[in-house]
Amino acid sequence: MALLNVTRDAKIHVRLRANPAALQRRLPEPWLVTSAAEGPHAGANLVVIFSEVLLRQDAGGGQAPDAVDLSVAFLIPAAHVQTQEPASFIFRILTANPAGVPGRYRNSVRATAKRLRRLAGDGLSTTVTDEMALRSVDGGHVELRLQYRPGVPVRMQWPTTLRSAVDPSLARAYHSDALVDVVWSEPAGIARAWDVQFRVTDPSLRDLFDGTERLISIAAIPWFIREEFAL
Amino acid sequence: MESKGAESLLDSTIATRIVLAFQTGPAALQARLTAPWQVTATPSGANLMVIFNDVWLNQDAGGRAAPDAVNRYVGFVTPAKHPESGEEASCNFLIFTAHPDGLPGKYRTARPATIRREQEVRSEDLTTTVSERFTLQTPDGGLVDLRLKYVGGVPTHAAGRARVRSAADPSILRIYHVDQLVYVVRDVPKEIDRVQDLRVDVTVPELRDLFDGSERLISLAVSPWYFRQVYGK
Repeated sequence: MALLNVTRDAKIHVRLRANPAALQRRLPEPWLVTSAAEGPHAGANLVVIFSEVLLRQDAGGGQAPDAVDLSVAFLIPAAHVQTQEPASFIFRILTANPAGVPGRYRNSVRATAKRLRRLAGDGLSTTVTDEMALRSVDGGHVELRLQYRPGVPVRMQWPTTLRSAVDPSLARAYHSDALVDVVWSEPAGIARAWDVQFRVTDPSLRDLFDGTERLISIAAIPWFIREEFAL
Repeated sequence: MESKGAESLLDSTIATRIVLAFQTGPAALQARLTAPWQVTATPSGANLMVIFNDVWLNQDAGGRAAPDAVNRYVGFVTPAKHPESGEEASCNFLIFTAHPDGLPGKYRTARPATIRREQEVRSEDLTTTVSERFTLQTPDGGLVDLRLKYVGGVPTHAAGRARVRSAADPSILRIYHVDQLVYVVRDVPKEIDRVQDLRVDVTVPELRDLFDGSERLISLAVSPWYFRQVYGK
C-alpha cells in the first residue's frame, strides 16, 4: 500500500442511531448498514466527525494543500454482504478549506466554519466547552455545542477502511492512533458531558435528521494521528 | 518491552506544551548544576527553557496509564555540557507539578504547586486566535504566571531525540524520542512575532536570581500535538 498522507488533528465523534432505511439508501450494493452490538457505541449506525486538522502532510512530508482545516464528516458503518468485510462509507463532508473540495471522496462541499473552545483547568480537574458550527454553500448547517469534564483517555490504535458512498471504488486504508475519551454514552451510562446541543439542518440530510434520530455517544479525541494509504 | 540499543522504553507522554526560551545569568544557572557539568546555550543564546505541560496521558512502558496519568506541570531546564566527555544534555533542575504522584519525579527535582490553566481557541474558517493563561502557585506564595494571546497558523512537524539529565543527580539520564507539531509564536533572532499579548510574571523566591529583570525572552513555541517516548536503562 502506498502512503498518501499523514494527518494530525483533534476530533469529536458523535454517534447516533438514525433511520436504517435512509442510511441504506446511501450505500451501494452489496453493502449493508451495520452497528456495534455492544460497548459504549452500541446501536449507533451513523457517525458524525468534527475535525480540527492541525497539520496534514503529503507522503513526502510536505504540507498538503489542505494542511489545516475545520470539517465535519458523515459516515455509515457497513459490511459487505458476502465477505463481511467492514468499511465506513463517507457520504458528506463540510469543509472550511477550499483545497478540500471536492475532496478525496468526491463529496466535500465548501463551508464557513466557526469554533470556540474554552478549557478551564484547576489542578487535575478540567472543564471544556466546545462549540463548532459549519454552514455549507449548498444550505447545510451543522452545529455542536457541549461542555464536558475530561477523564483519563484511552490510547487506541486501529485500522479502518474508508470508502466513498459516491464511488465505492474510492477506498482508503487508515491506520489511526488516538486518545479517546468517551464523555457521554447512553449504552455505557457515561455522563461527563452536559448542555449538549447537536443540530443538523441540511436539505440533503433531512431523512436522517427528522427528529427520530437518537444520540448514542460522544467521544472527545484531543490527540489523533492517521496514516492514509491507497487501496 | 520495546528497546532501542541498550536502552529500554521507560514511559511515554502525550501532551500539549508551551516552551519559553530565555537568556539569563549563566552563573545563577551554573549554581544549579552538579560539577563538572557546565551551562551552555542554544545557537540563539537561550540558556533557560521554561516548559508548561498539559499532559493528556502518561503511560508506563507496558502502555498502562501511569499513576500521574493526567497532569499539569512546569519544568525548568538548562542546556549543559560535560567538559571531559563532551556530552551535551538538557539538565532539568526544577519541576512544579499539580499531581502528588509526580513527586519527587523522574529527575528528583519536582515540587508541589497549585496549577491553573485557561485556554480559549477561537477559529473562523482557517484563522485561529489562541489565548492562554497558565498559572502556578507554590506553597510559599510564589507565582509563575503566563498570559499569552497569539494568532495561529500552520505548525511544522518535528521529530528528534534529546538527552535529558537531572541537575540534582546527573546519573539520571532519560533519552527522549519526540514527535510533535511546533508553532513558533515568537523568535527574536528570526524576527518572527505572532504575539498579540504576552506577560510573564515570576515571583517564586527560589527563582529570583534567574528572573531578576535582566532575563530576556528569546523565543516562544507552542506544541499543540506532542508525543514522546522515553528510553533509558
